[in-house]
Amino acid sequence: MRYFSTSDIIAISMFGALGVIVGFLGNILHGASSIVPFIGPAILHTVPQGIVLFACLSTIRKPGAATLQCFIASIVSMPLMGAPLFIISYLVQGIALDSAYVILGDRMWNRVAISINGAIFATIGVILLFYVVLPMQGLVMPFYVVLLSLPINIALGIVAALIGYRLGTRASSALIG
Amino acid sequence: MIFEYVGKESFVHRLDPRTKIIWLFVVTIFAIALRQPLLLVLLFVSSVIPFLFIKVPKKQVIALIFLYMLITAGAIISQALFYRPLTGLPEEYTWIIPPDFPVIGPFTGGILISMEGAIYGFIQAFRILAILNASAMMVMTTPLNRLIVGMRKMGIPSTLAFMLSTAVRFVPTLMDEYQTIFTAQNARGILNKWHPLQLIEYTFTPLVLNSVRRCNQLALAAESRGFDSGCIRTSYVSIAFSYRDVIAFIVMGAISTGLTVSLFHYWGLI
Repeated sequence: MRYFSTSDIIAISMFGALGVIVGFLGNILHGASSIVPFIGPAILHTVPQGIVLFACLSTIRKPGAATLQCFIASIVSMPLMGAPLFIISYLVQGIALDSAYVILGDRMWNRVAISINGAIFATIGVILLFYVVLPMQGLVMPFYVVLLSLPINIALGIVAALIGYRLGTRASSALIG
Repeated sequence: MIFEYVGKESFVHRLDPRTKIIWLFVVTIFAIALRQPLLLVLLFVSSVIPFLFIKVPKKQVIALIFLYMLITAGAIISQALFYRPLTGLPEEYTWIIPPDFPVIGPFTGGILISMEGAIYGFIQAFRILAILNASAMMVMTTPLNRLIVGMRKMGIPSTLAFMLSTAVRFVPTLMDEYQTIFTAQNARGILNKWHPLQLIEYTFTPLVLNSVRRCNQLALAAESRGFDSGCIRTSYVSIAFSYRDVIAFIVMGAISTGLTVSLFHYWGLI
């Protein structure tokens, strides 16, 4: 943890809190979101969580920030929202983004790379939702639902990533240390 | 928030937070492992038991029931529409979009609504509700600072515990601040609620920027108090297991044994 400064640690906690707030409805109502399966997961999970996660990574700009933000958001939201099964989903998304940052380095900070990562983030989210979280809860969805949800989620995931990046770039100049 | 600490002096309130975390873990594991409807209902009933000891305010009970109905309705409707048994088609069903319908029919294999799916969804809702009950019980009976001390005693590093408690403290502050920013921007007449991108731009940006500035101040305050000094950190809040926890563990053990035996019985191992 010495790798992160105190400001980084507190900023990640703040983004974790934001993740908790925006993830509140998503974690509780994801079962109900299945009623509108194609757009539901995107509105409840991909967009709000994507904006916060990319804003966090763009502000801190250190590998590990995304995983930590996801860990904080999921661990706090677990007792607050009764959705412990989402911890896996959150963590995998965070680890994937950090891995992308480790691989790309500073080449990550342009719109093309952010869009690609937004697409990866959304794809992982949808796959984990339909093949891990929902089956763990005993809910089954046919393949065509996943297939139709994927492009919608990817499109909105890219939008969310770009908004988060824009927000994080501005916020990073306000962060000291 | 629906899940909010309710300050009372009940048996469950006095339990060690670690006992409640273990109970949530046990319920989650069983909720994932159990497949049989009867066992899922039994798990749900078991998860309701702690609520008998907590006097939950009526407002919260109504909100919880509403939430549970929403989740159950979601599970029922989604499964009525999307459930397909392994054998192929359900016994009783009505086509909404038949397989021979142009384009959509061949792509989806037909969309049907079935009673079997609705019943399946209803049963599966017990799985989600059991986990929700265990979480709600934990949050309603444990102040968050005790919960974090419990997590720390279970092995979470102190820096992570600090991050968790900071995040928890940030939640109400951020919600209040968002409300203030929203009202201020609305008063200026620059918010278009039907334009989500504009809404994010005008409300979320100032929220994040203000919060990051606050992070700088907090970081200075934390460092001046010796945060990250490498010393062993102590806590004002102390927790310890008592005879109540022993009773809770016995009950938990009995429920877990009962469910495990039933599970093995269903699998034909006993």
